[in-house]
Amino acid sequence: MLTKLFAVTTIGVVATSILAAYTQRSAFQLRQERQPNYWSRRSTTLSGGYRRGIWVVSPTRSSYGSFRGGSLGVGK
Amino acid sequence: MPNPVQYKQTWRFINIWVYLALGSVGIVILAGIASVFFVKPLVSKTVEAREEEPVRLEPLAIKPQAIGGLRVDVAASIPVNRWLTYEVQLRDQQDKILAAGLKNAWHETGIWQEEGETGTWQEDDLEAGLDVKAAKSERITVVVEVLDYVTTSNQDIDEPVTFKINVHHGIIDTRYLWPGFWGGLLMAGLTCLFSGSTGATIINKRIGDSEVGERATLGGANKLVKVMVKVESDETSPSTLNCQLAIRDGNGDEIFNSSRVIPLHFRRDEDGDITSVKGEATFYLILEKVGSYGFYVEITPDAPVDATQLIVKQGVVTLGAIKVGHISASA
Repeated sequence: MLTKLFAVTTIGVVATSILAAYTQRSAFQLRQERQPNYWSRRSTTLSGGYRRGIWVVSPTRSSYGSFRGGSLGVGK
Repeated sequence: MPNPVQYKQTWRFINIWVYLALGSVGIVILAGIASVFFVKPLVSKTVEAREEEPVRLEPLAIKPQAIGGLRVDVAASIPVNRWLTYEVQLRDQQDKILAAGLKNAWHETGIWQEEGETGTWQEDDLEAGLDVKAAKSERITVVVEVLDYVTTSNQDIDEPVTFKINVHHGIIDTRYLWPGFWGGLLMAGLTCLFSGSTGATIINKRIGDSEVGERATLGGANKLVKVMVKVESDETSPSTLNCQLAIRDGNGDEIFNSSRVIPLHFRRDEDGDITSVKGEATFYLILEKVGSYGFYVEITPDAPVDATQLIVKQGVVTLGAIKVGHISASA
């Protein structure tokens, strides 16, 4: 029955989104090497990650001097 | 002698799935509203930092929690036409970095020209955000470090930058709720849409006359039978027609006879001429005993009637309470 299928899908979509929101899936997991679900906010990029439990700065961090501003339409 | 038909108002055949789907969309909205009650502010501070001189907050105790995470929001404030790269760091008790996020912030102004008009614009992007989830109970320190601070003409600035730092815990990422809400709404809409198609069509007969009849095998105590009569008539029609439905059992005895007034919908074209006249009547029934039943429809007055369609569906569901004619097995 199509209504059952659609209703079960609705509940599935809803449950997944609430679970993801309430467990704060998008957050950076401290002391974890793998961050598959990290979702940055306010265009803040991670400047490193863990390798064998130690924070290793990513090569892109040293190039911060190359940032040369935003422009019209980039901000909010 | 026909058995008396008992009419009952019932919620029994309601499509529970439609309400489950709509209810779950409602729960997303509630989840969004409820998320604010989990948030607890930990720190709200305005500090200053400059290149080579990072600013450190007081250590905070954090612990693993099932619901929500720790959120660090930092907003820099700098004068116009400057670029700033800063890093938000979380450090453990040994001063080792636990997490660090880099923000390229800017605050610019300028002049725009378009079709002979001019004006000034001012835009910025100064806020950084870092959300973390603790792996163990420990004390962490929030550090904000200025990495690069220049003017738009690329000259280094050796001035302190003011940062507003806010730390909250119990933060719930409501960004996930939006796809949940829209996706859920779409699926719930489809659930509603397909609710009407539930059930098996037993009879579907259309003839160009005011009388239509057909016999079929159907029935059962738990199956709702929906009889739909659709009428098309011409422009000489009165505003309503009368629809009489009679049902005969396997022996040809009449077990149900009821009439309804069908209000007609007159559709007109732009000149005011009537292009179509349509109306329909619906009967909900429970035929307790499975068997052969004949459905006979008569529309009166019959002169304007062009066509009559009889549709009998079984196992249908409804969106609300309905009045059902119950025809018992003893008939």
